[in-house]
Amino acid sequence: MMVVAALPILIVLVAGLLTQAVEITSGGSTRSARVLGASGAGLAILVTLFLWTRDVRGTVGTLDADPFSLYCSALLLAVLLTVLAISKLSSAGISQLLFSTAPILLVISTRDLLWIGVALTVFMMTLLRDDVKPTVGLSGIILWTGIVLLVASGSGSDLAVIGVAPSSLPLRLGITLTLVGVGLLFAFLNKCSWTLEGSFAMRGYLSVGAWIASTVTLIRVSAWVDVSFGTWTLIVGVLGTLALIGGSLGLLFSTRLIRSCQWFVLAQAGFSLVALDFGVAALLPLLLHLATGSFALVLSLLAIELSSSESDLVLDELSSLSMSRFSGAALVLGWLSFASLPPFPGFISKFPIFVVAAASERWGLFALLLISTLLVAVGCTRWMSRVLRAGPAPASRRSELSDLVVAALAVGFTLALGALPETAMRTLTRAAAGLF
Amino acid sequence: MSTFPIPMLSALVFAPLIGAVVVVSLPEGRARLRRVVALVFSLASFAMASTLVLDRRPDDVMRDSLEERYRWVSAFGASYDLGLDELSILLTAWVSLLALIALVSERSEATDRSTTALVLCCESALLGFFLARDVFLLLAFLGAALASFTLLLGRVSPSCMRRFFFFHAIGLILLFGLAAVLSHLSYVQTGFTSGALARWESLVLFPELETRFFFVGAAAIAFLAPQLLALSWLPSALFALNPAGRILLMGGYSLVGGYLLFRFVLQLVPRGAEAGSFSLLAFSVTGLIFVAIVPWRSQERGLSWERLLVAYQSLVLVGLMAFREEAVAAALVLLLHQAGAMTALALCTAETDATKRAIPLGVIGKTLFALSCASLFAIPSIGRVLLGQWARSPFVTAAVFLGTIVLALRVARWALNWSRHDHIWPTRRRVILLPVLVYCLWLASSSEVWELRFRDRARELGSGLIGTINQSEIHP
Repeated sequence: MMVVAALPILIVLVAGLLTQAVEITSGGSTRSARVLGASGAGLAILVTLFLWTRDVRGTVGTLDADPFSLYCSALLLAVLLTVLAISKLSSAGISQLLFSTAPILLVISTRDLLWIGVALTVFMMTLLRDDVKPTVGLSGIILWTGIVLLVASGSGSDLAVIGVAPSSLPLRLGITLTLVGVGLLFAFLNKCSWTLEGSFAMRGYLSVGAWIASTVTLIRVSAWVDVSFGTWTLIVGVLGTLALIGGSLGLLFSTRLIRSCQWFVLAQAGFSLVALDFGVAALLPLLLHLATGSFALVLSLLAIELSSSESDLVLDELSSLSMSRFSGAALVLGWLSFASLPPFPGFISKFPIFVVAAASERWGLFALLLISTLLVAVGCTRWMSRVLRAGPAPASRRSELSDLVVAALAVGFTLALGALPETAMRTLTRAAAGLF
Repeated sequence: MSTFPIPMLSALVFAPLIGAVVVVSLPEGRARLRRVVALVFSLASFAMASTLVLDRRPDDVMRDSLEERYRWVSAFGASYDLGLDELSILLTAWVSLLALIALVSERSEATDRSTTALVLCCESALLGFFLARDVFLLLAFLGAALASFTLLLGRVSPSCMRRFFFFHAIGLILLFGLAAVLSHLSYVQTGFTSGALARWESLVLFPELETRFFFVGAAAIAFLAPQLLALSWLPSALFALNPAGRILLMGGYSLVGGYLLFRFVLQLVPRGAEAGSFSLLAFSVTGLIFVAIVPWRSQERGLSWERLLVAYQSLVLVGLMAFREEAVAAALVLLLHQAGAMTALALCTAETDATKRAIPLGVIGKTLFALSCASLFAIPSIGRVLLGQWARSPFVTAAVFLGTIVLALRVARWALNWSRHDHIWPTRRRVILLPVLVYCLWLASSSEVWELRFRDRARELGSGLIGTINQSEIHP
């Protein structure tokens, strides 16, 4: 079973290797690399869907193909496939995307903190090129110190064993450091991914990957370990609040597109952390939130990328873009989701979290969630107001297929996760139940 | 009595939306075809609304025969629930007429397909908003209306769009918070999640909680509705919008606040509303006095529309906050008067395009203009609003009365000044003014009938509450 469950990871890795081989032999043929990469991602999705239909229950260790892991893997792979199929990527960029995806899939598919540590470190290495940031190293050290402490305390690194181990100081310290390490690592990986060379969508995907990896890790910890000890609430609350406030305010005041996106992902991650603090009741909307945030961001970035050849844009430059009506429509749908306007996906995923927050009667966090939603909506409207002034696309690319595909995906995303979410909700219910 | 072969309410709501999709998919440069398509879909919607108005039946029969209910999002108990009562009938008929007028008033060569599609989206969203019987569906249509207006504004002025969105987003977020708390309470008290307005109305709440909820709801509406705060975004929005958008904003979207207060806040927390009503009344009276006394700006654009809207909304709030069925019913009729009269005045005084065929205002034009000014002051309805409020607070009533008199004098003086000068109208505008005026006159002549019909809803609102007020009058 383990080998079968590892197939998506192996397929993605092989696709990455083949892409690199094509790059070396054919001098960087983007077309072949794109076909290889997209085929690999597509095949990995098919395998994931096949495993989903097998209805595995009760075995949620490492690579056990439980519904929770499969849902998160399919989500990540679907975003990857979208980026590979549409984004303007070099062959080097395509192989980097594939090599970065494999460790994230491993993080998603395991409950062993040792594996998670290794996978996050590999993911970090794929993002870091020549300039090793000391801050990233520091967060890696904190993470590994936590894992070593856990192993040294005798409870091992498997969350299922840690969950039933008698509480002790090294155990608590180990968990605390691991959580802080994962949180900080996400913040720095998010920053790193936006400073990479490459297309908007590629950077967006890597950032979203870091968000999914860290959130899934924290969800697993909260599901297996007795999180009623004081430090859990403190860590998650503090990290979430900081990310939420920092991300929302940063988005509100940033003047460059890339910076805005970076702050946006940080704010969404903060939202997820705060939601996680409310417990199991917030799990289902949290999984939906991961999907809506990821797709809305990547589709919006793809729409901008199709209308601009720049690697970054000042917000005012958005009004001078030449945009096809399909890309424009995709961006509008993305904005409606960012702004959390009902009945669009952002609202459908966030509202149940508000209800859970109200039920927990933690009014401070409830107000924080509402205010941050407002700030994110206003921040996104700042750049949307510029996009609406963009001129029409030149006649040559008014009905280009890629624009049409982005618009169709945006419409599908809005309908499936916003206006008609029942099917998605059923999938999510099974995924959330599969965690336990 | 007839039954309809199709789900009438859904068809009414979604006809303009389908029209918007068709308009967007038409090739560029086919302005005339686009206009015809938009008009056809809007006309279809208007025809359905008119059928409902003509097919009058008692409220309960209508509710039973036309209500549409399907499960929508089971995670928070939202359902697609559309229903109809006397108030909804009038509002939907008015909005569909208004959209038709807005589309006709727009010159086809001056608009692009996105603008036409957004006007149709606005219509669809407003129609759905007035028919929704589920809190989440109500919020969904409100969100869709807000999105449509924001995008309409964004096409002409990014700064206006940001300002408009900022204020409305605050209101919407406050409503989210209120809905989240009430949704949880509904689950606690009934054992399952549901967004049905009727179910939420039966929630049992502590008095102090009701008051708190009322204040949150009232704050949300202050941000959403053209109330005093609207003076920060409304003038620029009206100035920036294209004629069709302006007409929809003044005649349709301006009804949202009063309707939301009546249908959502007052129905859910009537006792909280009673306890906190004086704060809202103070806010309304301040708005009315401010508008009546402070000099009006922007003479070049004619009347200060935004201030007139604020004043009217204040009168509606005063009526709703009287908690007497006759005053509440009169306030609802006043809301409809406001929509018609403001639209008529906007059409009368809109700028004339020199490139189009235009005619002098003449006697007929002046008569139409005088009629639209007069219909602003629907004296019987305003009188009943004031009488209703008198029993609660003579001081507030006196202030409102004075404010209304000053306002009427100002409008009259402005109207005289305006009509003394020579004006020319585009021919089309004169034609489309007529149905609006017919609506205003019809409403004025039948306002007592409508007030009687609205009293049922007003009575539901005051179930138990009016008794409380009477008791307090007996034992002060």
